[in-house]
Amino acid sequence: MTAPHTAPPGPAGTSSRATRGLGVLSLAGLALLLGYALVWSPPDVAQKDAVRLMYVHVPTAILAFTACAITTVASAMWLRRRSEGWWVLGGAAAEVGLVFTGICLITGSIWGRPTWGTYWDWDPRITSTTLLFILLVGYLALRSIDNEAGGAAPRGMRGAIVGLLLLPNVMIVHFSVDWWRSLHQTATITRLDPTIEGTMLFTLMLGIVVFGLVFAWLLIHRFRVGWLEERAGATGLDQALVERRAEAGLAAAGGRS
Amino acid sequence: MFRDASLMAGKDLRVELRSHVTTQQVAPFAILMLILFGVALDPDRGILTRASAGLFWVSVLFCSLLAIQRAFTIEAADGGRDALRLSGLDPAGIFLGKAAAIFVQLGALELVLAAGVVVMYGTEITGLPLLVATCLAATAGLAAAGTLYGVLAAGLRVRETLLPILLLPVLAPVLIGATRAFEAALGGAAADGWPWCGLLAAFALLYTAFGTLAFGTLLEES
Amino acid sequence: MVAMTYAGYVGAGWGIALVSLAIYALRTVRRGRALASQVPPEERRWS
Repeated sequence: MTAPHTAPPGPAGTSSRATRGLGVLSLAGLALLLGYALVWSPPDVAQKDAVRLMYVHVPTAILAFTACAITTVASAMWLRRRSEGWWVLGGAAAEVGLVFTGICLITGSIWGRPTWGTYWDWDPRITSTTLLFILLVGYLALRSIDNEAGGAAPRGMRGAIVGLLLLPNVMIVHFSVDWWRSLHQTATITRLDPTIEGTMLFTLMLGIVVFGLVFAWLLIHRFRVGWLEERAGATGLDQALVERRAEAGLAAAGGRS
Repeated sequence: MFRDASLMAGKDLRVELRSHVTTQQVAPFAILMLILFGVALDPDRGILTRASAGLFWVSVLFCSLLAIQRAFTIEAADGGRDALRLSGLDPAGIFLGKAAAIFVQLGALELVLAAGVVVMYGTEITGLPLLVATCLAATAGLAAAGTLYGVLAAGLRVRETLLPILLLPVLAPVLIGATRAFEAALGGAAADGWPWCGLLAAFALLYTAFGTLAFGTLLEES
Repeated sequence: MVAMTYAGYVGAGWGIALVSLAIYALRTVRRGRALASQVPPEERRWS
């Protein structure tokens, strides 16, 4: 940016009244959740306090899959309407989903250590969640490479097709891995499912709601960031062209003198 | 559509027959994989025989990556893709033709690998109908999904590294199903394997249908 | 709470989760601020 300019009016970032309210609600919810998860809910009979990790692992798993669903729907809508918002939403949901998937995997692995004895047990859900992680990485990689290629029409298509297939792939993978591992049904698979009732059930539901709020907050911000990126890319190109022409004008003038 | 498909398949296979890439490069790669597995897993411990189903299909999977990359490289050279678009061939036919050509090449590779596994890993062939059915269904799925994702990665500079991470998670169910079916067949319990073969067939149908529908838009845009 | 069994695991798991979310949130908001200065206000009509 060469020409100095005053900061444009309007929102300074991606926040708005809605996100501020949502943010406050999320933080309050997280505080409440931590209280229940770490203190007020009882330890499990078999797993003892290790079960407290379930209250972060299961909600993040649910939201990771939700993110995939959002990306698939957004891709389908983009294919029909070709409006930019759907394109941005697909990428935003995938990125937030990636974060949640990563957290799900890490907490799942840490949860496994005291309950299974190892950090990895080929549990069907952890295995298919890891494949989900890679599916998301691939989708985001494709999108970013497509961005460089430039030009609106070719750009959307590849990402949209892969995004459209994201949820079906996730479901097929999940189904296959589940079926496969169920052939080796052992106590280890059920060890991750304590009998949930009463306060534990409430805490789990609370966890889903609170992490859902956090997810929504992150998604809105990430969507707006993506939206701004598209706009900045367009204005950036215009500005670059202006600068190039100015440079070319100067160079021509300098060459002559 | 089918006429265009057979035109396309015929062209791809003729290119292969003349250039011998699959026979001279991908097939040796397949054998090499079997040898490397043997080296890594110590042939004397009986692991190789027990694991032959899995090792076979992992090798097929990696060979299919090469075959798919190859299938789209021949178009990219000399602006072949633009020629395809202008040729007026039905895109669905192009998809089916390309997938069919990959299917044939992978089938040939599987025969080579099967011979390798029998000879090098001492695997006994039992349950042949299930083995054959599994190969047909799994390869169809590999070819269909591979052609679809192959064209997605085709126009990009980093396709060699992108295609594997895009495609292999998608093909994980094929690996799971094919390996389980093979294990059932080789272990004498073929009845357990047929449901897996059904899964493979469903997968193949799904991707063939989707590819047929989507290829038109993809080929234009890439 | 100190008497919690596996306190280390529980703490590590929750800690990593919350810290990751916080870092991602901060990064996203900061990216938003940086980009907003480059884009004319008509294009970013939310508040």
